[in-house]
Amino acid sequence: MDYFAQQLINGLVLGSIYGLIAIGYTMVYGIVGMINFAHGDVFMIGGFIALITFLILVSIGLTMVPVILLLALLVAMAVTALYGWTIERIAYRPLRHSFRLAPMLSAIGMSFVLTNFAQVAQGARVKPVPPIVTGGYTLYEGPGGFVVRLSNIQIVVVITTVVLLAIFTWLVARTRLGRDMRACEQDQTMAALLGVDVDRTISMTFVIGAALAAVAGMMYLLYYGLVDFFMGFVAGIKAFTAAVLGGIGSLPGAMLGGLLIGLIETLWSAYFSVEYKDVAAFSILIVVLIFLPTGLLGRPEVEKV
Amino acid sequence: MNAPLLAIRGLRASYGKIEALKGVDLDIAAGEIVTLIGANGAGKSTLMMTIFGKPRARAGRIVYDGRDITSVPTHHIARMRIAQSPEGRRIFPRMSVAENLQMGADATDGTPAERAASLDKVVTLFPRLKERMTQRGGTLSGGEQQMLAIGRALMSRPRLLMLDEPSLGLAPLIAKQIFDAIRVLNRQDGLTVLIVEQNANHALRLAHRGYVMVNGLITLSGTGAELLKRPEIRAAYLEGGRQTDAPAAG
Repeated sequence: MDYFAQQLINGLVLGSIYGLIAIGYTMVYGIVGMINFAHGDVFMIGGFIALITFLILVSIGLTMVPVILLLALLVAMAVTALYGWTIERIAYRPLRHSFRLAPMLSAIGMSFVLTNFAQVAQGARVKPVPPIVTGGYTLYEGPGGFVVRLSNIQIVVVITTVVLLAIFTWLVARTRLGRDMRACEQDQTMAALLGVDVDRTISMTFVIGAALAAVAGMMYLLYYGLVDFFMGFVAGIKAFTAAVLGGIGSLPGAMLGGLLIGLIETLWSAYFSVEYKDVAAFSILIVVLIFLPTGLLGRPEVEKV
Repeated sequence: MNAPLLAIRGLRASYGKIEALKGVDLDIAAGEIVTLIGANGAGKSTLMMTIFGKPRARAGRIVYDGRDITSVPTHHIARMRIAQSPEGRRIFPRMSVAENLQMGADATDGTPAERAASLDKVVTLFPRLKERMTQRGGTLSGGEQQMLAIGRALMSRPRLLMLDEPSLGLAPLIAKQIFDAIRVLNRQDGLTVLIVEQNANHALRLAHRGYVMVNGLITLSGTGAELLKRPEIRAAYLEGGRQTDAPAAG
């Protein structure tokens, strides 16, 4: 039971990271109907930018950890958002009125470009960082000596995720930008007839998705203490699985799917085998696609008109 | 006549290889109600969409309020206080009625006071919308969606309002309410209106002037009363129009 509780905590933390990435997939799919296969690599870029920002801040003599964390988060979000904007601008927008597969192929190409760019620019080796957020709380100490712990870094990951999701939900539900995004998702022509700049709204979707992926990248860096140029691939596919599981196009679905994939992966590793944790996660994708093609919170394509 | 609010000259447009407009000339003076009638597929809806640049005109000119808007981006045209209730109504199905109306108001960036005044006007015209404010657009009945589409267009405080088949699929009583509302807006606020209709009787009675479109060309024009008297119009769009009200055979 203690073991299970501990795995539950670990799974939810990992799931938060997947959920933040999954939102980017589902948002872009909702608005332009394509899978942005480069999104996992945007997450990787976010991790690197957070790392570089840490090193710069530490080398100029900053020592207050909360300030460093906050600054690194903001810089990583801003720079990664710029990446997201640029990728859409050069790789997807010119193909928007082409055949349906064209932007997806372009996205796969973009994914390779980002992976190789990071490899060339930062080297192929894994970049470790010493633990920045340390310590934690012992929630429970079992008679057998087993301890359920909640580390500070886990608290940071979960709180950051919750706060950003709250801001993001408010943005989509209450602001004009959010309304424009939903209008473009439902009927781009009508949105344009009502004065919505569709191109700009699509750009903003990529910007927001990339910023959330940067948060996930930084949380990954803090939690696992490392980044490497290839980490976007598996994390990206897992987050994509999460988006499909939750129902692609559904924002709450992406977060729910992320949490579930995080839990499944962690519990599988805990009770069965670590080697096959990816098999567990991807089997879910296959099962969902067969039996529940619209996902948990997705809606069928047919609309009442 | 003064310079018209909207002047269209030699307008051509196509969807893919099919030429839908083959050189259309049409004028709308400020304060006028103009009705465009024609059979299904004549190009009436295409004309309304081409005014907004969807699709873009292949040739010809569209001048609105003295400015050539033929190649102005769609979302800029929307901000020039031309509003449209398009074919199929195109309500945002997963937004509430209130949000659909807000989308209309966003088109022209009104002050909060102007927005409140527009909203007030819309719910006065269509009290039904007031009861439905928090409901999703997709769950409204056809008549309510029609009211919402017109209300959304009015929220942008348009100078030129374009309505595509405002009576389509509506019970006669509701259709009459909508036409009455258009008349009120025209008389009280001097709103300029272009109505596209397949079923011409109501629309021609309401209009100051009318145009008849056949196969992408304007073939006839005149005052509403003149057009109503012409035998070929009666045959093609009035008696015939009544037949199309019956359920389609086969």
